[in-house]
Amino acid sequence: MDGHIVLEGVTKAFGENVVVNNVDLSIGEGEFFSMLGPSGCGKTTTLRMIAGFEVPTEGTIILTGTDVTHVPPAKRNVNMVFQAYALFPHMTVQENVEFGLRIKRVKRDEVRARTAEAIESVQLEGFEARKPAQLSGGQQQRVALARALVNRPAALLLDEPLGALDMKLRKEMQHELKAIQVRTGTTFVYVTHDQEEALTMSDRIAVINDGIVEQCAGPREIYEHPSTAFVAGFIGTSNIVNLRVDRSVDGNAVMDVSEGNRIVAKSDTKAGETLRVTVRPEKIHLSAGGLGDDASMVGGRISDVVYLGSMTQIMVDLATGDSLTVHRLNDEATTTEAKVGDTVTLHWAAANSFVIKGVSTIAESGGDSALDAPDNHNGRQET
Amino acid sequence: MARDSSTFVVISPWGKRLLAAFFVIFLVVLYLPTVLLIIFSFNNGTVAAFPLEGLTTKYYGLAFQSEEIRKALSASFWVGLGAAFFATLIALMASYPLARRNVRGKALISALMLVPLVVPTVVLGVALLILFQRGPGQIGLGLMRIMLAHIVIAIPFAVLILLPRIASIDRRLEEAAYDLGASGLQTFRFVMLPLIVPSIVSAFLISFVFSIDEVVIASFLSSEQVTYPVYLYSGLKFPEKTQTLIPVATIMIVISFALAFGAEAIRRYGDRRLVGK
Amino acid sequence: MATIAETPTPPAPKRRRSRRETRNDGGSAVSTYGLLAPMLIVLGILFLAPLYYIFLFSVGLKRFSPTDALASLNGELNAFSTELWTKLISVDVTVLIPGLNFDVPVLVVGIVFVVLLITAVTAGRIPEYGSWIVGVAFVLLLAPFLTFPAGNNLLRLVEFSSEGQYMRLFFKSVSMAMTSSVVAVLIAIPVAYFLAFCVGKSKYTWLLIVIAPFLTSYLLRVFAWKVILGDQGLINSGLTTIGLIDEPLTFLIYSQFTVIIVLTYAWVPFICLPIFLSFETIDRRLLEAAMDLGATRMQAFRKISLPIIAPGIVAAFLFVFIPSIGEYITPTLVGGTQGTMYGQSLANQFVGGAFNWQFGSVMSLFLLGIVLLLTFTTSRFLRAGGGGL
Repeated sequence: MDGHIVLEGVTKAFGENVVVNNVDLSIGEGEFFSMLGPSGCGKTTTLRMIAGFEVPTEGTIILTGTDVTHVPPAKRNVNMVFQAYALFPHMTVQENVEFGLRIKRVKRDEVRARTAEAIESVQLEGFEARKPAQLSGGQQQRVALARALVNRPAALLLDEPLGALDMKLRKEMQHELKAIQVRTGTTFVYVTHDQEEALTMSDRIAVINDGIVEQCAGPREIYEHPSTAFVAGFIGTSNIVNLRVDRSVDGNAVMDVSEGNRIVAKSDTKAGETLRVTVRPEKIHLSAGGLGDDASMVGGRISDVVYLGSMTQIMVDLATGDSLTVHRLNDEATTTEAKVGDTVTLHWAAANSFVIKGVSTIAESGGDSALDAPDNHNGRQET
Repeated sequence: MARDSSTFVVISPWGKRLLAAFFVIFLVVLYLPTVLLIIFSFNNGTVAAFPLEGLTTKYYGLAFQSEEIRKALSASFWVGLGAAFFATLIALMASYPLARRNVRGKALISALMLVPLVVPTVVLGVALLILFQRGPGQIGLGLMRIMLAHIVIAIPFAVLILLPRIASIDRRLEEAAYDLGASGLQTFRFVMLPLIVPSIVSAFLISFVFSIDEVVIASFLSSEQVTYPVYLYSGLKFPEKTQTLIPVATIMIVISFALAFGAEAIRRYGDRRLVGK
Repeated sequence: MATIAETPTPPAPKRRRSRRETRNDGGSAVSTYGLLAPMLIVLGILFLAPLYYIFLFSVGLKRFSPTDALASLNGELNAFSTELWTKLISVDVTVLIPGLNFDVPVLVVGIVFVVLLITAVTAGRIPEYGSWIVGVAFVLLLAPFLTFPAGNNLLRLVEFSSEGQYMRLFFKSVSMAMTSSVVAVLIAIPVAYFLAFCVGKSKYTWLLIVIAPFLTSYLLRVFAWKVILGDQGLINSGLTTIGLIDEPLTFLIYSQFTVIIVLTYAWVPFICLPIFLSFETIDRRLLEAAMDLGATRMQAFRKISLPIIAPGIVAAFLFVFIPSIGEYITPTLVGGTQGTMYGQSLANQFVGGAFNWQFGSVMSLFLLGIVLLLTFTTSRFLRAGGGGL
């Protein structure tokens, strides 16, 4: 594999406890790369191994073509933005930012120029003489960025950098971070547990669970084609249905639920086998028919309606015993109001049913929605 | 913790008045001996007893003319300075790994380090007396030996001040420094040291105050030159000598108060600097 | 590109690297132990070695006299022997409940003591009356170790018979230390309570004012009490002047009473700190909740505050008790002949009249053993209360 930062078979164990398990990653130059996963999944440990604070138990880390697996952090050309920033409390903003350059004994003129440039790039001119305690959370965040960027690192490693900020500031900083990344062209390796943050900012995302990379792809791919049950569950809300293949038509696997009712997914799987299929709630339509023969079409009864502002979440119990979550935008086109007890028919295109790998059900911690998809869909198999 | 000013839940209004009265009496009794000592330092008599026989400052003059007192004071000062310096240095070196690294046998080392605090000073005194007089080498007695003994007891004081402060400093500050290219020594010099200087000063002052007041071990280990507390102690056993001792004692008490409040002020200043960490 | 590991079990880490350090935090084992080394060396030479020498002396493996002949002349042991230990610990107990006076074998006393101890620790689990039983057991456990004023002197409920001269002295020291610790704690609790809850923002300044005397010369504070309690001191001369007494009250100075007063005075400021800190940990909202649920202030204190501050109180007690048992300066200055303590007798074996280093070593090790036993069995409490040191 080649890339700007390459991890080959990296494993990290603390005693018996394997935190990172045989991870292979390749991060390209100038990429905004995110590692996304629930807390304790090993993403921060992976980042700390890239920074050099932890030495892998197994495997190799290659940075711009050089094996740095056992190189201490001070000698690696990467810099880290720490959770809660870790600004030196006894130094001013200026002193914090120029720390790295001073340590490296860069010439005084250059230190001054580069520090000024870094402070300007995070729009903190005029705050040079302040101590970190006199700055707001957002400003501290910028100092941390400037302190790292001033060293012109080959990659910037960010460990949940927005975790300490409130919601509104977080959104602002997301845009700003992305803008800085694009402007400087620096490779960003970004660790977060916030799926929305990862989806908005990243070029590519590695979804990590239990020390294993579940999927590594662009945001759209991750969201729309989740490759494992974990990814489907962790990113957004998702329905998972077990599909027993009754017949195979034109590369589609079809399960006949009842007369005229069927669930369809794109797959070559032969009749008789069982697939796990996921479908995003907003891809399911409530209105009557018209998606064609190769579309899924199932009838059911509304069991719950939750108003969520821009959309409405509707839970539908199927005749199969499964239950599906449906999202419907609250726009002008939505004329009819869904009521609990109504009988409805659900439709979605075959292309929106994705066959997923993995046998695990969605992890409890998966996703940030309390209204997550029902996690048990094997009712049909047992009857 | 609730920080409101309401005391309703913890005490009734009358109970509060009662406690306040108790507290006032307590403070009076607490400071009475010190105040008496200051009054008696101006007593124009030969014994420290009531009634006063008039006021004078002549004993202050006598005290400072006394070669013995001057020598004892200077001995105490140097012993205290040495003990405080080495105890603080050794404690600082030991606190760092104990707070930050995985040290094998950490519990045992911590226990060993703190035990001198609970060992009766009289036991430690005789034990050191035996070691210096009958141990291998038999190095004899003297001020240097007193300083060594004071180091042993001052180390746990200093560690108890330094270790919590070092442990309270966010590990990520050091990691940030390493990450920016600093070596272990540079990280200590530029990040850790500035943040713990107030605690170092505080540990030094506490060790110093302890040493210049320590009498039991010093009296076992002193030879011809005694430290000030030992001199005071032997003097206090003879009532006719006490009146010349009180003026110096008064000055020592004032200095002790100044050091105690000074150490606390420095510690608070250090805390303030870390606010918003 | 990402590969998806399907296997749940990781490849076993190779042994070869297992000893390698796993953190790159700029610290190696060399520097870690290098930094600890000076302290370990100092403690080894100046703390462990002296204790080892004391041990050698206590069992006759070392002696003060330079030659064997001189040693036997001075009555010193020349070879390993536990004779001196037997001499120290030869005890019989006399129980002196006022009016009664009878001997009890040590074994019986020991058994009663252990039973009371077990009751005090475990009875809390008995429903309803559990806390009362614990209370009674504690009082019975403490009472023999306390001294009570009786006329011009102090009285103990239990006494060691006079054959065990040194044990008798040791027990006297324990009871004096115990009494002053209990009194000190009883004074410090209301002071700490007042500081923690009633003075508002300035409480830390007031706390410092309370503690500051502790940091001034111990000798001088003891001496100042001599001025107060002496025959011509503040109290006696004052009382004589106003005509309440003709003769000075002699029990005020050079008695057990004086030693207890001075020890209490010396330590109260210090133990206000741990007690204050444990009051500080009480969340006032808990008390509010208790009173909201119908508890009175006293009930709220007993059911909520007391269990929270209990470790701090025990710690405070030990902070006074442990150094007081071996006290040497105070009894020498204000104790007179009545108020002698174990520590004086111990020092006397080395630098005073008795001059028997071997027996002095036995006395030292015995005292050290008791103190260490006490410290380790209660270290949980000491840690809880020592946070403020």
